[in-house]
Amino acid sequence: MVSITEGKPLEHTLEQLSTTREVTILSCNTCAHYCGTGGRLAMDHLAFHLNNNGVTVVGKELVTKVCIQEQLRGCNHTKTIVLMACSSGLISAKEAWPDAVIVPTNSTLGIGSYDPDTGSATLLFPFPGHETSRGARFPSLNTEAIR
Amino acid sequence: MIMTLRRLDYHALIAFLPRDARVLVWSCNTCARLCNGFGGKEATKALCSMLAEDGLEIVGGEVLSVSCFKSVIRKRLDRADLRMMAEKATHLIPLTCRTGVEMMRNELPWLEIVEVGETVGLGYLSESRGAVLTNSIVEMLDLPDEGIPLSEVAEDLGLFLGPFER
Repeated sequence: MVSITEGKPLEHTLEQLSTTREVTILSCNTCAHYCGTGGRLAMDHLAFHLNNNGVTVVGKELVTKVCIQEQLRGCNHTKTIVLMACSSGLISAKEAWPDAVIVPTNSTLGIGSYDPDTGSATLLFPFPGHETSRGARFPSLNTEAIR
Repeated sequence: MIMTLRRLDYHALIAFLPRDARVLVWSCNTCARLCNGFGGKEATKALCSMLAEDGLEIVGGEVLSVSCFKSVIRKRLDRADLRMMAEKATHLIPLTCRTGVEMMRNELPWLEIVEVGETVGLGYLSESRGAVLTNSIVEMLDLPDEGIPLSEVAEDLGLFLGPFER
């Protein structure tokens, strides 16, 4: 089972960073990677767009599982962290770095399965508010967050 | 990380299994292991030993890094020794999350699956709080923003935490 995430629009992230000049991107390389909302490629895309929009990405950290808190040890970060992970990863990071400002780029829709053969994840057990997305596949065609 | 608790205690499990059952234990070594040792190598070995001591025939104990990827399971089942074990068994005990159970049901349809796990949602492994549930798929649970330790979830839901014990 994997957590199913969907990227928020880039504009939303930029709004959250309107008073921030420098950030570190922290990207999860497991579930979020499967959904196209984390991993190295999505992180590089986001860094490109943040840099182009006046936010300097001074560091990029790829973590296998942000939800395993010990894996966050050794990550270098700025005061503001742009987090590409699920909601559990967010709480894990907030607990690990209580003084940091953490800006999540993803919404977590629920739990599902991943098929490496097709490279897609399917939402099986949606969280409240996302019931209409049951059965949807991710990454969705809406790649706005990393466009 | 997917959070899974245990539905049964060991006595209920042994009471459920017929005396002539031939048992295969199959576990996931990622999320299930991190849920206070519900799954993983040690839990699998311990359960196999306990069942064997109680007179049941154990045909094998298999541990996969992940049991929620169909291709990983199929690749493992291509192994002749495991295929033979699966064909010899009558009952399968999956120490996995709900998806793992469904994968086993699809790939090994002739086996009776003994569902011992209850997947309760999504969470993380805190260095100070242990396994913590942050998003529930169980309707009766109302979670605070910082989540609830899995041990408390087990108490609230009347479920069991960690590996089978006597």
